[in-house]
Amino acid sequence: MKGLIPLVLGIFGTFTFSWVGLTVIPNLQIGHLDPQMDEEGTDVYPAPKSGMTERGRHVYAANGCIYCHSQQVRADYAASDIDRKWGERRSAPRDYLFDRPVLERESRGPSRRNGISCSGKVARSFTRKSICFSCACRFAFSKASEFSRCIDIFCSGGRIAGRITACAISFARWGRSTCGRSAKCESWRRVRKSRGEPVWRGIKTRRATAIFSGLASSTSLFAAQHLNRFEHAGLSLSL
Amino acid sequence: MDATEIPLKAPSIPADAPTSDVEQIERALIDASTRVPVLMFYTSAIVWLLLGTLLAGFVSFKLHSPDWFSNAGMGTAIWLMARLCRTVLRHPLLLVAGAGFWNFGVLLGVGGILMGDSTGYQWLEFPPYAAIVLFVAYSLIISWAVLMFRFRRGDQIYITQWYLLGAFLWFPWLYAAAQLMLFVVPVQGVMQAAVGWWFANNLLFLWFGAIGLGTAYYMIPKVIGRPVYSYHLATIGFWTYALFSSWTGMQRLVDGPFPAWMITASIAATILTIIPVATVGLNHHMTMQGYFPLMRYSPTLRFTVFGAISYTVFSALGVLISLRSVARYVNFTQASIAYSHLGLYAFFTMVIFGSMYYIVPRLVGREWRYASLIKLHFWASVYGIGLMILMLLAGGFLQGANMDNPSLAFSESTQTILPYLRGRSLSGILLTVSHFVFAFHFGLMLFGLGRTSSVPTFLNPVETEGSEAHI
Repeated sequence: MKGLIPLVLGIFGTFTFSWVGLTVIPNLQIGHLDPQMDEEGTDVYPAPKSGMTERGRHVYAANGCIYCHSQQVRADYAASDIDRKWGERRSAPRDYLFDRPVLERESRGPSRRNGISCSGKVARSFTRKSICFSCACRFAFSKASEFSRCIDIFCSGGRIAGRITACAISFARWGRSTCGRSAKCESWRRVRKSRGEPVWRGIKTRRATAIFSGLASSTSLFAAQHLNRFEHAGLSLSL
Repeated sequence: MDATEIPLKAPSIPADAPTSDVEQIERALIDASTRVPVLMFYTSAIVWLLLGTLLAGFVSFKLHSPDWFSNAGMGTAIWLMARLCRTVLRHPLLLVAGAGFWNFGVLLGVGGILMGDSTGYQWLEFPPYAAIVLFVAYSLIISWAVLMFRFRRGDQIYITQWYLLGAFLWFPWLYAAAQLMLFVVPVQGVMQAAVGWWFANNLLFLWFGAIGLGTAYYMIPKVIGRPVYSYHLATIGFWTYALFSSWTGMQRLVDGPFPAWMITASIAATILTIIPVATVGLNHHMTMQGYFPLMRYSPTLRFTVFGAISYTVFSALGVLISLRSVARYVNFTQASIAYSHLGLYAFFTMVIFGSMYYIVPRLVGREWRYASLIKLHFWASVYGIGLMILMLLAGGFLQGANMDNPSLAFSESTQTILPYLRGRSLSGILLTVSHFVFAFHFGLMLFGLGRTSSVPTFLNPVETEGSEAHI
């Protein structure tokens, strides 16, 4: 090939074509949406997010949750997301109106968007498989304790907590501390057990609360599913 | 200097034209001018590679990809640019400053992620303050490449230069566009995901991919001492690559909350990448025709050809997993991780390893000391990455099939992949071995402990008469 100018023009042209085609034009199409509301101007969807939600999103991003969770529900003809009760309908652009950053990525776990049933099974698979063995967030996990606390808030139960402790130890290498096996933690756990109360290994931290606020405010479904659980366990989340 | 110093020429000029002494000296001078910056890029690349290997047992290399991948890629690209422009690198120390600044930016970014400052955009995790440093450093580096181009001698622009110039120009535009649309004037809602994947895929194709392909176009003909089979094929391959691969970004968002046309356009573009893949593959194959036995001897050729073949496999897999009927199962599974690894490691990293085996001896004036270590490096990498990809693919397909079946609990799908992920950990061990072996060997070269010899290090003793001249 001779001549620099055609080469540079071509390089520039192909780039511009792709940039305009995949970002600029779609932005014209779906980049300027407004929230929907009914005739009286109430029941706004999606509602603007609270400050706590912002904080939650930051925790979510900082800890690399994005590497395993898509925050997206696919259509019923394309996947079994809706059958799995991960959401009531497929996600639409408007759902993400106030999300920043949009935490939608190369997911290997279930969607976090419209709520996820938090059974012991899920918790175990969550900690043991997705994270311990495969996930890229090991590196991104800034503080091990932070992660384990989030999980603690999420799922209670002695057996599960034990599993999580095992996992937290593997994280502890990167983090500063975990309260999982400390004598103080153990004795506290014994007391709770003797009273017949749910065994929580961790403590409700502001960050953990924030992340739940961030996720839960996405839909009321999540809140409906989980708030009871939290309140039952003596935690009140102000959502 | 040996027979590998046959210059690259257009097909019209016979490849076996005698190389004059003047050209030899000229080349030695060019190599000498690039010595410090290129070695600096390589050294920092290897430090990041080891750090990445140690930090995360290799599983998360995507997170620190800018370090090893970009450092090594830029080192090779600068050397190739100087060689092909037939011009000495002016003021190499300023380029060294650029490299230093770049690594400072990476350090800042990695530190930022560890401190919890990740932006939350995959492939763009580095917090904005690191991005600014990276951008400034990159501008410094790129201006050198462009300056070399400006001072180039000869009219002909070789294929490798198309790809390198493309990479050098595409990367800053991409990076700037993504930073602008995500952080400076953020786009609304779900468009952020579109911009994010547009950037991520183009980073893979237009930056890493372009450097990898350009390097392969230089190394294969150079090592076997034979011109590229067809310039016309190469031209078609380059332009279709630029056109189609830059449109593939949205295939990762199949069935996401986007207008269907965006995703369909990307799937179509992915299918059309068969054209550049076929032309590039055919071109390399025809160039290598009759010279495949040389892979027995030349480390560079072995790594490069492996990388070039991986590029074909990578693209074929890309087409397969982009189809809606397949994506239904494999989207959001380990299979998409396998795809990224194929591109970044089996293709790009292996080609770059190959180029380093070629370039480093010319910079330090020594030959690689142990053929056995090169062989160990090669086989550990090949088995390591091969195993990793097979495990992730098999695990990913099973995981996807289970995930698609709502009667199975979600945890079943994660249970299914467990044995495969253990296999993957095994592959991590192999890759760790390969990286440490290579780093040790590179260290020997760096400290002047290589062999002093006029003959390059062959992987096996050369048996047949005549082949020696080509290695």
